[in-house]
Amino acid sequence: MRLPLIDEHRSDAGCGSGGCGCAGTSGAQPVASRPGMTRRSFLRTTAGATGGLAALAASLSPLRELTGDGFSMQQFLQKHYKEMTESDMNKALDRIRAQVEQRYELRPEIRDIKPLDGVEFVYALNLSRCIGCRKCVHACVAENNQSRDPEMQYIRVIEMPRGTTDIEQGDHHYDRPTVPDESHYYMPVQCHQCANPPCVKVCPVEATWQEADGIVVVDYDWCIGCRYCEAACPYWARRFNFTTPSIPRDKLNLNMSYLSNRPRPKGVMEKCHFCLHRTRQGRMPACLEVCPTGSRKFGNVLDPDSEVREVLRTKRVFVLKEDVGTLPRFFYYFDERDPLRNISVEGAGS
Amino acid sequence: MTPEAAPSSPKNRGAALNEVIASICGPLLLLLALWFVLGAAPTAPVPDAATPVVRAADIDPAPRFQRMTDPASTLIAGIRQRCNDCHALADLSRNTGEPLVQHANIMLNHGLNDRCLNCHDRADRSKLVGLHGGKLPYADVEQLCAQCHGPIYNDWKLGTHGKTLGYWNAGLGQPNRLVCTECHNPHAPAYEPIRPLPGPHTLRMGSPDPEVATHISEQRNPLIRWQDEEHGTAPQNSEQDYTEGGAH
Ligand code: HEC
Ligand code: HEC
Ligand code: HEC
Ligand code: HEC
Repeated sequence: MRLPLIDEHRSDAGCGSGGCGCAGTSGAQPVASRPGMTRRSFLRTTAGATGGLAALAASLSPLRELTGDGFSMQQFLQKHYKEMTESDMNKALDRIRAQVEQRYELRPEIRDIKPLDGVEFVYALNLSRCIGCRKCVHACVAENNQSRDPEMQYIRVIEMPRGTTDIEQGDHHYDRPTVPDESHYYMPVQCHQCANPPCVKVCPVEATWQEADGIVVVDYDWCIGCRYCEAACPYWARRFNFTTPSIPRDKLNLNMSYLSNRPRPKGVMEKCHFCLHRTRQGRMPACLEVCPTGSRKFGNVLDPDSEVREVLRTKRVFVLKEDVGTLPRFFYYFDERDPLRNISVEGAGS
Repeated sequence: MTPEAAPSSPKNRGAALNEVIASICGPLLLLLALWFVLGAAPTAPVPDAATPVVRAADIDPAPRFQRMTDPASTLIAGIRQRCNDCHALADLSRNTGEPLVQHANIMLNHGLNDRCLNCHDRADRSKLVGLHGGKLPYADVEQLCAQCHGPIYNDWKLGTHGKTLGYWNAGLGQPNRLVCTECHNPHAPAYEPIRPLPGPHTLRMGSPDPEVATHISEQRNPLIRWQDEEHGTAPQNSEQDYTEGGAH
């Protein structure tokens, strides 16, 4: 799509008297009425002005991309999530549906799923069992329509030397032929959905907030991409879309929700949201289901019979960087070893 | 055309220079701008990402093993047969732990638990061993494991060992708690080491050098390389750094 702006100005030799601030308009007067104008200076002025205008147009040309990739006036004028009425939301969902359809030629199932009453989500992770296979990382990518190229990953598995919980000593990029490695243990880190979230506090536009069930969400239509939240998060949980996310058409997850895994534009933040499009409908998050070891536990901490309540009651639990006061909803725990393992004849219990 | 334009006067020399510069820069700017405007066409729909290295099978949430259903059966020479098709004929048991003629595919690697009949009932091979000489159907396999792994079994009952697929809330849908044999092979229950899926590509530099396979992550992680330079330690010591740091 051409901006009409460009052509109009270009056909207009010089920019008239409207001070458009472009370079080379030394004599910004109507040409004909200017005495003493040489042919050369006329040409110079014209060339300069045209060049300047064209440069201006060029600097505006990224706007054309916006019109191409789903920018709409409606989105621009959309209200803040918390101020949207049901019909506002339906309009927004219709727009997103149309955008996804236009881009992928697939019809998504997109809703705005609200928190459940009497539910506060908690996650627990068993460090005695995790083997560092990174299946959770990639199940998450697939579930949440993260960009594949460059690949964005919400979960970071850290390979930790045994005997310390100082994550500065961990390796994020381990790449062994096989895991687990005997001298290390593995600590997956993702958004901790803190009860006292620093990322929410620093957001200058309230594009991220905490919901009643404890999930910290991001409205991708409201985010301005300043990345303050990324800097504020002590757990490296937030990710920024440096480029337009690209997802192969056959990999798109069509089960979408407004605050979770709908396709994101370039220039906004995103992060783990406990798969809220699944969990608010009672299902388990994708990272939990794929874990081959059962290290991951998820549930409603207000329900006394939930698995996470059992973990908190019976296991040795800790949170990461407790001293920074973020009050995470993500707990790590260790198991007692099975006493049978120590009676092996080979002396397996070292 | 104006007659007073005399290029030799010093005041006008500056102007002439200006003109020369302008007549070079003007067209250049113009060309540059034209290139920006015409060359940078509006981006087409973003091209599809290169196929990721992760296959669907790598992230399939299905259980690791299929559990045995009653009546128990096994594949013998490609034909599925019930245990008692043969075992009802005679007592084929030796229970010595020596290599077997039949069932040679079963590699028992369960530590001290090295006798078949610790778990399989002697008289009725379609049953497992229960408490006090009782018999368990394969459907109750966790009761078998519970006899020797009490603490883990209790954890499993509470949901802190093992895994629940499906729903976290039974009111909203059916939770599916996996049984022991959907994760553990009862004959060799320890998990085999597996290849990890690819990590983040942030800070990842260069392709791995097979020569240094053991130090791959150190080689690739610029943070660790940087640390080595900073503290003047040789790169091959970084492994040792870990253990020193983690000794307490
Ligand atoms: C094709 C006939 C056949 C079928 C079907 C069969 N078995 Fe066997 N099984 C044998 C024979 C023959 C032996 C004796 C092997 C030996 O002693 O070397 C044996 C041995 C065993 C033993 C070893 C006992 C010992 O002394 O150590 C166990 C346990 C066993 N079978 C279990 C089963 C189970 C469980 C099934 C069903 C899932 C089954 N078998 C099905 C033929 C069969
Ligand atoms: C007769 C007692 C007995 C029964 C029944 C039994 N086990 Fe074990 N199991 C053991 C012993 C003994 C060990 C210790 C092995 C060692 O370290 O030497 C063990 C070890 C294990 C281990 C740890 C293996 C490792 O090396 O990490 C697992 C896992 C396990 N058993 C699972 C099971 C499961 C699942 C069942 C039920 C299908 C089961 N066991 C039934 C006795 C038993
Ligand atoms: C720890 C207890 C335990 C021991 C010891 C044990 N088994 Fe099993 N075995 C099982 C269980 C439980 C199953 C059912 C497997 C399932 O649910 O997948 C089984 C299944 C089998 C099957 C059918 C497997 C198939 O998938 O076709 C055979 C055959 C068998 N066992 C033979 C043996 C033999 C032979 C030995 C001794 C070398 C032995 N078992 C030792 C627990 C045991
Ligand atoms: C989600 C899969 C899963 C299920 C279901 C499961 N386990 Fe495990 N279990 C694991 C993993 C992973 C480990 C650690 C792996 C390893 O050390 O080899 C483990 C370890 C064990 C161990 C070794 C104990 C130790 O401290 O290392 C025993 C014994 C055991 N399991 C028994 C059981 C029994 C009994 C059941 C059923 C009541 C069961 N498991 C169900 C995944 C599972």
